[in-house]
Amino acid sequence: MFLRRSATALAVATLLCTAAAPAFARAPGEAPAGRKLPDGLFGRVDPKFDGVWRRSVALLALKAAGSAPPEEAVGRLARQQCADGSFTAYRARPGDSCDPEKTPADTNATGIAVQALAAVGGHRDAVGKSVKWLASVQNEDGGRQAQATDGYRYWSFWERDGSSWSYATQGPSTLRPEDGDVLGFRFAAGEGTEDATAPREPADFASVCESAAEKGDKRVAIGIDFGTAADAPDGQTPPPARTVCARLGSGDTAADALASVAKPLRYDSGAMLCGIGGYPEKGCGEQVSGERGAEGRDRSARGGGAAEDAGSGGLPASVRVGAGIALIAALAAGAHWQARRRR
Amino acid sequence: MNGASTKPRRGQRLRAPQSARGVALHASAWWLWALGLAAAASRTTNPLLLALLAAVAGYVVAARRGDSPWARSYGAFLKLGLLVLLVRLVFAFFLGSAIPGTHVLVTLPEVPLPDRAQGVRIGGQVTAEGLLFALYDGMKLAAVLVCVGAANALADPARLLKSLPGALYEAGVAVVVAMTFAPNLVADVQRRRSAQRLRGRGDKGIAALLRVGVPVLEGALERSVALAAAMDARGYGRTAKVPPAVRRITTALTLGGLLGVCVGTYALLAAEGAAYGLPLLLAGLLLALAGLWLGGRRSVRTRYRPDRWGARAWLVAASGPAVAAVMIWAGGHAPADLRPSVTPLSPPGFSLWPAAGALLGLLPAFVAPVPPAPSSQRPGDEADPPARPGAVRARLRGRDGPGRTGTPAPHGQEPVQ
Repeated sequence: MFLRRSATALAVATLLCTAAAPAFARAPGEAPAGRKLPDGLFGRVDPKFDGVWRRSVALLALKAAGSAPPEEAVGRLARQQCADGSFTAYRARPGDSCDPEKTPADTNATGIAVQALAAVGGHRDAVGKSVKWLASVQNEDGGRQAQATDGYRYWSFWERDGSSWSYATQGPSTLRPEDGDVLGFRFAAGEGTEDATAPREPADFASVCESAAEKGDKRVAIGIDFGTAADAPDGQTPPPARTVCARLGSGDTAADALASVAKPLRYDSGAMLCGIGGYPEKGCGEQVSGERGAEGRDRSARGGGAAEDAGSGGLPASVRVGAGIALIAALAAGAHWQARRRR
Repeated sequence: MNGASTKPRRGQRLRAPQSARGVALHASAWWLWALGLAAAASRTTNPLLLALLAAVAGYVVAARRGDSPWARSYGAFLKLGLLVLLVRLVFAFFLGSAIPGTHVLVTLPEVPLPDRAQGVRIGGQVTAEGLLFALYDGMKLAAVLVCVGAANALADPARLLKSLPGALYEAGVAVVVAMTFAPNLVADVQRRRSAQRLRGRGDKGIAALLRVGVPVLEGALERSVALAAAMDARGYGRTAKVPPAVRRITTALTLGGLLGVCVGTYALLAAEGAAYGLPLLLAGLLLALAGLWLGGRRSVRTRYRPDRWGARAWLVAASGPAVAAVMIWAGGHAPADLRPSVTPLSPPGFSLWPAAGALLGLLPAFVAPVPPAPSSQRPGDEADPPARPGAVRARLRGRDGPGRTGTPAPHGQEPVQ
């Protein structure tokens, strides 16, 4: 009787959970269901991540082309400014005060909004406030921390068509590049594929692979961008970006090309690319949140030391492997002896 | 009597006692130890560490397994683990691996697939790195299987079921009955098949299946009905009178707990609910356990000589999670050792701390009670314990078991169950 009741309870609980699940689901990038896009906005996609950016770039373009930007758009852009002079990625209700938890201040958005407002004219106080805010958030090394994103830290794979990077549609282990292709890898933190950051520097096949081609030789140029210090995991500094020329055999994939020029590669059990050239020593596509960057630099000195202490012991690798095999053999012999003793 | 001094020496007091009904190790202690080893194995793909863990498990099994039929299952699990490894390697060989490599071993002819099947590859290049990655991954799976097999060989499943909480008691009884009758079913099938062959009818095909299967099912049904009548006559299945308020609270606790566990697990796995996922999961787990404990009040049963959870059980049960903890800590400090890189091809590292942690798993081999040495048994009388003269004499003298009334009994004469 009790068993029947607990079985019923379990079935009802499962049904309720499956019914509640669609409430959490929503396609990324879409405007929330039933919400009308606000007026004075350029473009049709949900402005949650780039509303200020879109508006500012469009206003700059209109001003540069010589046509008068619409007053409503300029006014709405000015209203997006927070009390301390910063701009967020987009605030749906400009009347509310800026909440650093929900919509953190974004240096990218502030920079472009300042340019747009300065170009349009008539908002000198706002421009001055934003410039003062930008100066206040400058890091020690002169850089500025980008928006503190919640998302995942991972290596993304790009192909270059002509003059820009485009997000590759296949993984590097299945893509078979042609002779003369340019491939790129970038390590960054992002929320999803539409938010992925491309490698910062362009790569040109002719300049990277300068040596004369032999007959039937397939070569590709690979650009590897290890990302900014803000995106680096704790205790690690990203190496400088580099571009290399890789030689391919006939059936090689892009991953084979990468393996020949950027060892050591690190993969996890799901065959996802975790590290290139040993760069993130730990972690694989892990979730990140909020502030990073400043702490990472402080710990970089200590982190490097600790990693070395635990691993090395001074013995060469072959001695260690031999010791391991000897230990296993001793245990196996012991188990055999115990089994015979009890037979 | 083992003629010796009256006071045992200090060293003898610390030595593991011979395993008997009263001092047998609690079955869940063995399972905790094995699950700790399996958790440690799942954190690493270093073949040396995995082989070390499997060797540790094998040594403990060889040192402390008893004579029961399920004690011989370790070899079967070893073979299963090797089979898993082989299947993984075959798949990596024929279907390719996502891991790139520069050392090409052999190039198989590739089967051209349509564009829709872009992620799949049949044939093609076989690289050493890809095969090595598949070997490491397969060894991890095999090591986990071997650890579970060690628990199977060491822990008595019947005693484990007797330790279930009261609310699951009826389910436990059903499982014990099924386990006890399974060999009878197999013997039945064999008997009927040989009877069919003796009568000159074939034993292959659908008709033969029906001829053999239907009587076997009938026999199983008859046996279970007879067992149910016997159990009912002995008072199984009676439930206590529990006030309706307690029953409702039990239902609410169980339902609420399961809901909490469901929602908490979903929140933990989804990106949005990470903040409240863990507390909700823990709260749901607590509620469900409380409901389980409260629901046990309905089933009336007493325990006959339950397994005691003593110091030795604590030591054995703690050694497993200790191995896992050391492995997790080592994974945080020296990740390269625990996950040897495949590109470039390099020998796996073997450092002190993970190996020392794995050797911690050897503790049960010295601490757990020693199973009695096998006496010369006739093959086939595995069900009854061998009748020893001392035990028979003890019963004839009217005692209810050696060692119970205070008169000293010879050590090791208690019948082993």
